[in-house]
Amino acid sequence: MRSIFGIVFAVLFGVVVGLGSAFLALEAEVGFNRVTVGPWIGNPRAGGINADPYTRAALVRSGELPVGGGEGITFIARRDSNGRSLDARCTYVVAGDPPPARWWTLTVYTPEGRLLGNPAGRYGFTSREVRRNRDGRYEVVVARRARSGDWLPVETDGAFKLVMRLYDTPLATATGLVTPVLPEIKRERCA
Amino acid sequence: MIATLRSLAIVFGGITLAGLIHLTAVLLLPSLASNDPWVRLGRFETAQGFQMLPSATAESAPLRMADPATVILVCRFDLDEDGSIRVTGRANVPYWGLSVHARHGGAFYAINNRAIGDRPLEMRVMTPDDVTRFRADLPDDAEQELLIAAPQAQGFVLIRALVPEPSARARIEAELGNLRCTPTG
Repeated sequence: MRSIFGIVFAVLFGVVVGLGSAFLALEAEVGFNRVTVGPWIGNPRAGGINADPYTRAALVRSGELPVGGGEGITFIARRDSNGRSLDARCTYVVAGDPPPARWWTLTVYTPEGRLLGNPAGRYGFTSREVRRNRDGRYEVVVARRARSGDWLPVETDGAFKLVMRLYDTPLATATGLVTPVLPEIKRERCA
Repeated sequence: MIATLRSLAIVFGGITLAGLIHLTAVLLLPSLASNDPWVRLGRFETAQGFQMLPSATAESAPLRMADPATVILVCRFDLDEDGSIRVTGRANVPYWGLSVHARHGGAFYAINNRAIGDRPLEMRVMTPDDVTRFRADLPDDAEQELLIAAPQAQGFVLIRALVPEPSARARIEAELGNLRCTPTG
């Protein structure tokens, strides 16, 4: 009798912990082959047929078809360069040298992955649109209030994430062989 | 003593089972998902060939986390019905990237406009057997067409074209209209 209880308990434990941990792993977006550059996290294999099972399952669940798999690579930042969570009450300067890609775009999203609406109708910048200085450096200001220069509005009170997509880049095929150049995210004043 | 052994066996069994269920769930999820990319993209289908997805805004995103600075074309295929599909044409745009995906979303082939150069795009997606047969029948001086072997019968071709600045969108959409995706079977 006692052993039947034991077996029932073991089976229940297995099902609950097995499914629960799988769910949590997908929610936490775990995955192999991550590339971290400062606050930016990318997975060169995401979107490709050789992505790891966690990344593959998470993408089927979300319905996302990321730029990846030989076409390019998607980097996501939820924190600034000092590790503090991105917060729309603060002003950020995203500045860097041109990354190794034929084209790139910088876009701002809600934490859930929706675009942030704003009267200017600006969701991001492309490498063609940003102004560069003589060395090719660019600087985008991410803030609620309008700013001069390249201003990316964030019309929200809370958290947001920045997405940098590199199109036609050697990074997509040769991981680790090229050091990615991605911008710094510097926090300025907070309201 | 026996009671201790029995509890150990139960604990060990429970943990092993949890591990197995965890792995099975993660590995099987893509094939069990009823709402995979192939099904989702089918909702935009109005006719055969390439479908241009509506552009992403804050209110609606046809594709989750799609880049708002791109125009996206999708052509779904089912090689069991279509035989093979041909993708042809020339679009004069700053950048396009084409990827061929299996039904669950993973891309197994990718190419962009720089690799094609000035030539028009000419590509066939077929089953691996058909690729072998097609190659054997080709005359030696045949035009080089890209032959892509699909690991699964169902999948889709996705083209992302960059819109360098918003004012260029209409012109880029018109150029992409020159691309064709047609079943041959």
